[in-house]
Amino acid sequence: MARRVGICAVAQTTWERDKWSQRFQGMALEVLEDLLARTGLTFSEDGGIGMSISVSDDIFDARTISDNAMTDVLGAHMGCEEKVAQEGLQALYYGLAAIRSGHVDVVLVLGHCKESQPASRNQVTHMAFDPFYTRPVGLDFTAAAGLQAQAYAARAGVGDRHLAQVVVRARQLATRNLKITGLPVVTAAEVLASPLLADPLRELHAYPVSDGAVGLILAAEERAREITDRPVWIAGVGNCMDSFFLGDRDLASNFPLRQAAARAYRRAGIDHPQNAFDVVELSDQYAYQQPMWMEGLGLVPAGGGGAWIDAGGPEAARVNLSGGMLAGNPLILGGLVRAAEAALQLRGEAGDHQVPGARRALAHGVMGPAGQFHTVAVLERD
Amino acid sequence: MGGPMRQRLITLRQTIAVGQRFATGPVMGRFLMALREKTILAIRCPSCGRLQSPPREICAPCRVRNTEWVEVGPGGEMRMLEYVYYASPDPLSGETRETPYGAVGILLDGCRDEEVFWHLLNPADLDRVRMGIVIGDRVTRGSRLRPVWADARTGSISDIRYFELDEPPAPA
Ligand SMILES: [Zn+2]
Repeated sequence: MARRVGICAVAQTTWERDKWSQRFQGMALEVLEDLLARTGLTFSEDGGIGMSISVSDDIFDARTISDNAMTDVLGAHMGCEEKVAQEGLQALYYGLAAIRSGHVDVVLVLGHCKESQPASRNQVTHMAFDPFYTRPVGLDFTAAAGLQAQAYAARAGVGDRHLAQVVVRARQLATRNLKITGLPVVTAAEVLASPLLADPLRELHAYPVSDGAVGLILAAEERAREITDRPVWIAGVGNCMDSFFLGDRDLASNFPLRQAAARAYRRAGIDHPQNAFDVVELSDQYAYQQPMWMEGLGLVPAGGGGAWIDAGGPEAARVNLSGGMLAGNPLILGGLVRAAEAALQLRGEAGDHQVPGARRALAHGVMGPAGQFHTVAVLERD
Repeated sequence: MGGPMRQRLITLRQTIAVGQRFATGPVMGRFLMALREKTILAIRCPSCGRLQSPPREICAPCRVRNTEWVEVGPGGEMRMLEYVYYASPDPLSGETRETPYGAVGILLDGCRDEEVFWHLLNPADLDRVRMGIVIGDRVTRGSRLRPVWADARTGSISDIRYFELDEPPAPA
């Protein structure tokens, strides 16, 4: 029987539009010191943190192998350090694998990003496209999301009014999340009047630019129980990578997310996901993704996104009570922050947006144009 | 395969550019502000006493935040020299530098052991300097160097144009 792995502690900086007073090493250090203070851990191969996994984006950091510039502030000096350049929830999966292998007992996962540093995030995601076929014709993640939003909205009866509702709710919830600062609430009229980015995506439909860092301590079951009296177990993780070329995919099909979710549910022993979760944290980089990913997760009937919003589904299903990505987390950290928020809920530490008695949560991350790569993690407490 | 095949297949040229603006934070930021005033700062580890310049937030071996700021140099002894015969374009500016150039490690006054500061050597001094070498008890002193400051300083490592020889010419 493979070892169970628990999340023992969570820390994050505030998420701000522009952390002008800190370079990214400073943000990461703030999170590391917080985690060490919460757990009393040190770095050692004898009961301490035996492995550090960082999450960062080379282009945002303007250096290749950008983790090499981070080892000092990760405490990884002369230790084992690995980097995840994929969406941050992968780092949780990586840490799970390392601990289940028996090689290490305690793992630090720490991601950082300063989206404020490039002139535009679109310049960065433009670089994620191949330089020969798709960059010259102007694709970036925003344009790709526009294509997907169009394809999805028609199929699911999701209109401009629904999207405005999603954004208004996210901004309201963000005011209850102490880690979100400087994000104004908006009215539906303001969302409906905000400029189009890529039809039907509007400016206010997009996740706000943000800077910050997030970290977790993972440990093998026995060790986890020593570190904390409220470990959060990683019950199952699944992921799925779809085609890179948009023309190879049906953008509205949710195919990769359905696969990722099925894998996670199977590993977590969940047969009926519809009623399985007390809390859902999903990576809604754009407003249309909240209903669309809920369909992909099998938590809303396929094609029922619009009706779900009309019926007050997001509130009833306790989706993104943290504000979600629409409250502002960097692209590469979206899923990792979702896992952190879900873990806080299961630990009873979610403050003003706590769901009383939450026992099981779903965290979702996504990366790549129009949801190319999805990761789903099922988290539980005793 | 060369020749005809090579002529038939197309090559594509691309330049990667992303405009960026970096926050420097309280440690790097203070160091850069000092350069503007022609001062080189180092930061000391409260645990092992090691100096770092350019300063970083923590001492990695001791895993503690560095706390004490000290002024070092600006002169020092050349400990390492690398003649570089090719020049890659700087990815941030696209600029190249003249070759060969000398990348030097300087033990700034006040520093010891491996606490060298990396910069460029005045190209005119390339063949006139010697490295300092410490092998056990055998110590060979390196050339004395001093910084040449840029006239317009903005708070960047290029506020020092390069280091130049700071010794009387050898007797003929
Ligand atoms: Zn030290």
